[in-house]
Amino acid sequence: MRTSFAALFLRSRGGAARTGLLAAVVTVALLLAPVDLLAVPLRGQVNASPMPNAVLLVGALVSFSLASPWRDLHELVPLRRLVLPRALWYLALTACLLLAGYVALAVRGLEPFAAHLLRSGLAATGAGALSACLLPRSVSWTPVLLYGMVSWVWGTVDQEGTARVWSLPNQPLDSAPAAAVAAAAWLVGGLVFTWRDGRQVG
Amino acid sequence: MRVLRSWFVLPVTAVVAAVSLVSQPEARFSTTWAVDAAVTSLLVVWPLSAGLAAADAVRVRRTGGALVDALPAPAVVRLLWRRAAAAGAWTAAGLGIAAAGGAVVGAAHGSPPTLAAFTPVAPAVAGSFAVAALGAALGVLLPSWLLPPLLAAGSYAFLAFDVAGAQSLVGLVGATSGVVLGLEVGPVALGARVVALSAAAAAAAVVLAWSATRRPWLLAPLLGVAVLAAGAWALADMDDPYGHWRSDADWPCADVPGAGGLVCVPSDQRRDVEVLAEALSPVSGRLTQLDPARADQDFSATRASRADALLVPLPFGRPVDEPSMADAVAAELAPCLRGDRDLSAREEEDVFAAVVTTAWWLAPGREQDPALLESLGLPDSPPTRAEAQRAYDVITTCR
Repeated sequence: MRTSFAALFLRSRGGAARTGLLAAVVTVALLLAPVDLLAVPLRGQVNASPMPNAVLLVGALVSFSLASPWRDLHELVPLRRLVLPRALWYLALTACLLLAGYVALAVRGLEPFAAHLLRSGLAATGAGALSACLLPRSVSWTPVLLYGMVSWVWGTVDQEGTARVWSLPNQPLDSAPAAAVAAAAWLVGGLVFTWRDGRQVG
Repeated sequence: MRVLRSWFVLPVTAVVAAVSLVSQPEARFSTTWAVDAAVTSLLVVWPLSAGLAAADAVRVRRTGGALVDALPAPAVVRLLWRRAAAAGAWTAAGLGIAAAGGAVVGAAHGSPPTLAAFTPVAPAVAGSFAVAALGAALGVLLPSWLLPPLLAAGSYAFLAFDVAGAQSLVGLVGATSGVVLGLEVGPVALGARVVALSAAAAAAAVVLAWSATRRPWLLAPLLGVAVLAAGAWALADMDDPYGHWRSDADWPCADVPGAGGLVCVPSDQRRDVEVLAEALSPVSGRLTQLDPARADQDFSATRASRADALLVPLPFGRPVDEPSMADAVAAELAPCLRGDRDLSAREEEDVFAAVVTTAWWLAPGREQDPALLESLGLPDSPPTRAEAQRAYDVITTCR
């Protein structure tokens, strides 16, 4: 039986089983993540909400599923045949992981935090995609994860959780620049991935 | 295929330590705080380092394949140990650079580097190797590319979400907090942490070696037990951080002018001792008027072994004024505000009002917030001697 091109492409990215596993990780993480402003360890009188920062975990996981284990083979295929599957895969992954996160929020009755999930999730997906295109899969998870951790520990300045300029997840939800950065990161990440594809394992 | 190098943990550690230093204004004025801020960077570097060490081990297991299996057992062990040690070594090197940088910043602001300031680096280095060895051991046991991100993200989530009380582990990676000098930990507690973390590293290394050459899962339970035991041992010392503070017997002290007491500071902040003594002089004089028994009252910048000293805040480059000293002294005089006794809301409000009154008496020239005075039912003029005396009696007896 002849396997379709789309099926081969999907299989090269881990297919439904691995994507389901990653989505389950996102759901479990957001089921556990506290949403209240809590004291940040070692920072004295400084509070932050772990949840918006934890959403950046999505970026670490997405970079894994965007890497290309058979890049040598893909380079033999004309770019125009790969553009659509890559773009669709990027969209599907984004939707799947955001949906997985939303399920967790819905179970906890925290739908109002969906806006945080959307903003941080889009930024993390875009950054994760860039990371997957620039770094080998063995380390492509590091930049977004590191940013998430640094943002949690040092991204706020006081007990009200006021964000530093560079800490996107901690910005107030009505911050237009933060929303623009998140949307731009997602778009740029998607375009670069569609054009270049993720790096090979190594 | 290009070999994964964990060298970039070094610049990452240095950059994160710089973020930590910049976020902690006090760190600029104290070598102890600066080194501690550098050590604090490990809170985020350790999960990363564990993941990278795991990635290296996964690479060896997956891509080395038959070649690795064909090597004699000692060669495989050497190969894995060297790779696991690399992640730990790069982390330790980054930490060393960050600590040295912190010391330079402190020295530039007049805080001399002291040996005590650098002692927290010892358990941090031992811990860096332990974390890398643990990551590598897990990488050998579960050779999947999914392991490194999940390991790092899982460690992060455990810490951030405080799963199973995991946040108490952060005591191992620094102590920069409102509890000013928990970081002046005594040598015994430090030694125990070094030994505990080294034991965890050794256990992981043994599992790593065994797993690479024999049936891996036989030793997996040993790894779990060893890590839990080492962690429990390392953390047992932190139940009472005050009990392990370094003796302040050799700290620089200065006479409070016009009073019989002393004010003492940690040795790396000796340049501030005269500033504090000057600021405390009028406060101490007025305190003696309320209670002649406090004529030779000592003051200290930490609640170290000088148990009868009153805690005062260190300036950390900020101007020291009488009101801030008066506030600190008045709050210190009330043992029940330090959790020695459960107070009802009403009692707590009374004691707080008495603290405000006493602090106003100790620094009479200060400006008060009218809203605060109104909320506490206090008059908007400075207290008389008799009012201050009554307030002093309330806070010292907690009645």
